[in-house]
Amino acid sequence: MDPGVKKTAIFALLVLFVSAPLFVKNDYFLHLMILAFMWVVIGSAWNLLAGYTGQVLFGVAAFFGTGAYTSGLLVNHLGWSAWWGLPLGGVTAVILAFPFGWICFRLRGAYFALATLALNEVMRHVATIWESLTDGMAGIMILQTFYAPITTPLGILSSKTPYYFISFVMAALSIACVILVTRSKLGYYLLSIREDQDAAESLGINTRLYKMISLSVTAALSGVAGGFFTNYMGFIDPETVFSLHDISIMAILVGIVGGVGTVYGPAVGAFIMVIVQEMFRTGVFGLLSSLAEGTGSGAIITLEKHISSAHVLMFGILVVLVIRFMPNGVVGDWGKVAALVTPCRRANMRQEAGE
Amino acid sequence: MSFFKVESVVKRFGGLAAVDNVSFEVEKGDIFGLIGPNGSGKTTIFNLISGFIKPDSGSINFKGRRIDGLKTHKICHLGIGRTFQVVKPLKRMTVLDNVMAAAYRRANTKNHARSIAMETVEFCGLGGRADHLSGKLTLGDRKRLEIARALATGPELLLLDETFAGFNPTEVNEAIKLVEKINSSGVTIIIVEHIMKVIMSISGTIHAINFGKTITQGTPADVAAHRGVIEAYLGEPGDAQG
Amino acid sequence: MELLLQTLVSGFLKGGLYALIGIGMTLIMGVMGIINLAHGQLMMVSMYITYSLFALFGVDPYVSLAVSVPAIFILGVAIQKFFLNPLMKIDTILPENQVLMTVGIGMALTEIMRFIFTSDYKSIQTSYSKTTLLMGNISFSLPLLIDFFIAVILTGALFYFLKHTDTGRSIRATAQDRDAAILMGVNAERITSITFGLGAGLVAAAGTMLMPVFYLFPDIGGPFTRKAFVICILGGLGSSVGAIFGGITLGLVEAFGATYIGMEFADMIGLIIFFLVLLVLPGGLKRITGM
Ligand SMILES: Nc1ncnc2c1ncn2[C@@H]1O[C@H](COP(=O)(O)OP(=O)(O)OP(=O)(O)O)[C@@H](O)[C@H]1O
Ligand SMILES: [Mg+2]
Repeated sequence: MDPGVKKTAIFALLVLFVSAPLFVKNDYFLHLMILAFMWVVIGSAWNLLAGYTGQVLFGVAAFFGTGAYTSGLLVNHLGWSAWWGLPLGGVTAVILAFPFGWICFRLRGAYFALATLALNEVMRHVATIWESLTDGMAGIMILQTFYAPITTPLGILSSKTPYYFISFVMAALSIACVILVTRSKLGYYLLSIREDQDAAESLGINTRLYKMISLSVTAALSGVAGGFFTNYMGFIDPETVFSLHDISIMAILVGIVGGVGTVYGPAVGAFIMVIVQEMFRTGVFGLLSSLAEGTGSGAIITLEKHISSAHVLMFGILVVLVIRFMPNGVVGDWGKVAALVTPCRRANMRQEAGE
Repeated sequence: MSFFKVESVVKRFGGLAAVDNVSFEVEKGDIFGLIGPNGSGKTTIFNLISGFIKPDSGSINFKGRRIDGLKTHKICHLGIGRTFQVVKPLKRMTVLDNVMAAAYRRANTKNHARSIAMETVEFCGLGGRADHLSGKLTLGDRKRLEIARALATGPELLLLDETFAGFNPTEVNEAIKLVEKINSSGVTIIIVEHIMKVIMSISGTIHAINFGKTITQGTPADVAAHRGVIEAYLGEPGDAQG
Repeated sequence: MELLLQTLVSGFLKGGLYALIGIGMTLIMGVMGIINLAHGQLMMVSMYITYSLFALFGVDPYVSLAVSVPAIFILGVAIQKFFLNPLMKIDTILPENQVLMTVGIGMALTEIMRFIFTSDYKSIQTSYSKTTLLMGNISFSLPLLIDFFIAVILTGALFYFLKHTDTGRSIRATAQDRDAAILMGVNAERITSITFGLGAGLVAAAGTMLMPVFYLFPDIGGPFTRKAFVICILGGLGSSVGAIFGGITLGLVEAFGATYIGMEFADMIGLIIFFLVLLVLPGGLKRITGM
């Protein structure tokens, strides 16, 4: 894409997103947008470590969940506002990331990825077992700050509007953060580490230090997203926020579907994946259930029942298909996607990484 | 105090002593040749110097400071740059970005890093290909990139590991000029090379090893005439030619 | 003393099965250089095959080995051929995409089984499930004893295959140096497919043989994948002989953990072993035993 067009497009999108709550009063639609924004944050965080630094993270939920629990525990044990969980969730996630990275960055490649998977599981077990602190499987319930529609001079807005703007700002900031990183010395160093750790060391790059920095930023962003999740949902439990499928694998999908190692890839991936996930969760937006009611067809009823319970299956299949056919995502494999749409267009396979 | 000194260094891999009690000194400003047949331990010596592996015993000193046991990146910061015999381009980055990553060793702003990198890329004859992806370069250009990257870190001592292997005669001549140009800009060089013509024509001193052990050290003429060296190479015919 | 001996015996017998699981994983890791995170899930599928044959036709689990092992072998070959091999030709930023692929496959297998069999616990009650042999005061579970012997036979057969057949030699050559093997005319795609099939077949055998004494539900795959990995690392990555040690070690550790620490922490203990092994013993017991 030509830079001028890109800038205009981004500006138009920003305006659209900022003004959306004024004319969109549909709670459900806003809800999806909020989730998508949250996933932009997590996806960008994941992408920084996996896509830009080449250290594949299988267990981002460890950090997300830590942030979420920080928020919940502040309310439950200290009586603070859960909003403190946004900054402090980031901090606790970094505190977790530090010893973990220090120990596990000696592992390379798939072994590091496995260690993150194990961390994810350990954190879930800890949150489950340590009942005196976390209330275990029962989870933590907090009162949401915004639950009633808001009257403003511009009309009555959905109660979700504040969450919408907060998540939007978080998403915008995390993309800005990735842009900042990629354009700086840090970005060059991370890419060098991804491409060849030995070469990077020989160029004077303290690979362990920079991997730690990258991990910390990733953990911080994920922790903030977790803190937000607690505020927005009002309820968390170990199975939800430390979920291997719904958080860790979802983050990987967001990254890969959008485009690993590209600035806007995770943002694109977040919207696609939230829609896909929601389609399955709700049986293609309730369409199937109304079809089932309308036609009374047994086949459709069975399909509807299964499709909403099978979103993990769909995740698995999606992982397989995406890696098999579109490993560089919509943004990275734009040439392929465009070629599907307009077969005669010349494939533009320019690498976005490093720009 | 000598500029660079390797003293009684030993490195074993399992039972095999890849480097066995090797010592040498390099004067500032010199081009120092390190030769030996395949598998004689040259690359291992470079790996020891640049901190990728640690010696089992012995010491390595650079500008009066003991550097064995230091981390690789630390050694780079002290002023030792190296190239890899098996090239390691940062594949999905452009030539310029490769060199910029190196230039950040001594630059803090992007503009400064870029100007160092541009200059180095030109200097190494890669000017026309600055915006090519380094993974797609020809082997010759990848070798030039190795040199450019090492140079951009601003080394006082540069380790070149078989940078000319696979070059045709014209390229070899260009490369010799490049090495001499680098040397005359004040960089001390230790060079490993199989092509005798190159090593004989540019080195001030040559150190010959075989099976990890020193055979001899001296001027190119002395070393070329040394019986041990001739035997080492005749033992494996074909290695001595380019 | 008796308790100690009893624990030793049950740990050792279980270790035989674990060895089978570990060898399968090790083979795949050695030849493809990837960690197969669908390993336990393949085993879980094999267990469902065994369960179905028993529930529908009353087929004895040991007889059903003749079905489950070939079936999972074919599944393994297909996974390698259609999902993993094609990835080698694609240049991607994520170097771990093969491993990620196995994660996806594992998830899909788990959910497909949940689809068919629901999340309920299943088990097989054979006439000999609870039979034990007494030797002094130490009891030997009959099925586990049979399992152990079959595991020994299968392992022996595998080693014979690897040492004395052309395909076996090609597999070992590929594990040692893939590029050199290809240069020497080894058809890498064929070898990797067969290897994945073999690894899958071995873990399938272990799964089927566990059925008389174990319960089954779809999520059982994940913990077994983790165990397989621990066994592999304990045994030194890519070493089949090591995997036997790794398997028996894990069997013993688990038995002692269950006896002396308590069942409720079993998951946690598993994870902690996993972490420790990952960090402390990258070369595995191989480093200690030198084998
Ligand atoms: N990491 C290692 N582990 C085990 N053995 C090694 C290792 N690195 C090198 N060796 C062995 O040490 C010996 C010396 O190898 P080295 O690469 O230093 O030789 P070289 O002189 O650079 O040879 P060439 O001219 O072929 O580049 C060889 O026998 C090699 O197999
Ligand atoms: Mg060498």
